Amino acid sequence: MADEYLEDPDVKRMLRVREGDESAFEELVAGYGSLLMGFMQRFVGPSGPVEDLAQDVFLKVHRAAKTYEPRARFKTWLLAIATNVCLNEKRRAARHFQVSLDQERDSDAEGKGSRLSERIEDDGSRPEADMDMVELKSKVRSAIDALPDNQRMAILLARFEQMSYADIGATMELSVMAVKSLLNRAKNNLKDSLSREIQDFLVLRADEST
Amino acid sequence: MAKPENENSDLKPGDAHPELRRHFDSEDEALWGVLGVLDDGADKAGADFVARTLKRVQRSSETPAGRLLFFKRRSIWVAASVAVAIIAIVVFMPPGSTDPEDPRQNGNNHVAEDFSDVVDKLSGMQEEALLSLDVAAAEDDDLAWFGS
Repeated sequence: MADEYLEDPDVKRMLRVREGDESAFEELVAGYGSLLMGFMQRFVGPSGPVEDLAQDVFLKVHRAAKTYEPRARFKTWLLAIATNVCLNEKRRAARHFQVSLDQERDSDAEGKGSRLSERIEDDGSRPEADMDMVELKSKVRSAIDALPDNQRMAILLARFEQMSYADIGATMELSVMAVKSLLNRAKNNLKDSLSREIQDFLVLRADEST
Repeated sequence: MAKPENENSDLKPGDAHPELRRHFDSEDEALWGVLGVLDDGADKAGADFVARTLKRVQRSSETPAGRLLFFKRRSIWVAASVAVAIIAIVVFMPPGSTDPEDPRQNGNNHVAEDFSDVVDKLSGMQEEALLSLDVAAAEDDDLAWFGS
């Protein structure tokens, strides 16, 4: 057992779960539920089985509790399980042709659009700005979805979970060098597909600073 | 409630890890900012999520034991049914009766009756045989008497 991880309060909670303390497990579900849901949603898309997948992760955590040994921070370990669950779901969806990423994006945009139209009637907010945001989100999601699975996973962990190279490596079972290479390729691919948005962002930032 | 542990608690949402940021150029920074549009799009797990997850975990973890219990219960029911049937047979079965007229002995009476018929027939055949022997002996005697 690596003592360095015993300082992590969630590792301590997991050790309590190992001893049969179900209240510690409940604390972990409550604490990491939103994080996992967000992670799943960004990976499989909002119309994917986000909650089911998040629950699958906690099921695996619970089943692994009896043999749990802290070899990483809890969040790293949890996201490693989540990564495998996501990749398996992607493979399953691809095999069964159940989920089309295009449909996901369309339904997402339509969903937001309908809610937007309701808001226009309700409070007269600025629909153009909201529509721009919906389009931007759709485009960013498309760009992320177009990445190979391992690049997508690496960029999501880096951007949304604020992980270090080492943590991403631990989560994806890769070396730090491999993670750096993966992230560089992911960033370059995203820069290509989002070049206009990046330029707009840079202009906006320059305007703000002057 | 547990809060997700972050080794860099100074980081604000969307900030890159300092290790990564060290290698960032302005385009990387802008990319990080653009990706931020997905920050608020993520579903937040509601209170129900915790309850539903715990219920599913409980159901899942109870399954093997539950199955065993189900089989145990079923075995108990089968064993109990067999025991009741045996007890019913023992209690309600009448004591052995040889009276062929006893309606409770119907099942066995045919055998008994058949057996009696056989015995009767055998007895009759025996008597006939003995009678014929007697007749033969008597005839021998007669012949002997005539012969002599």
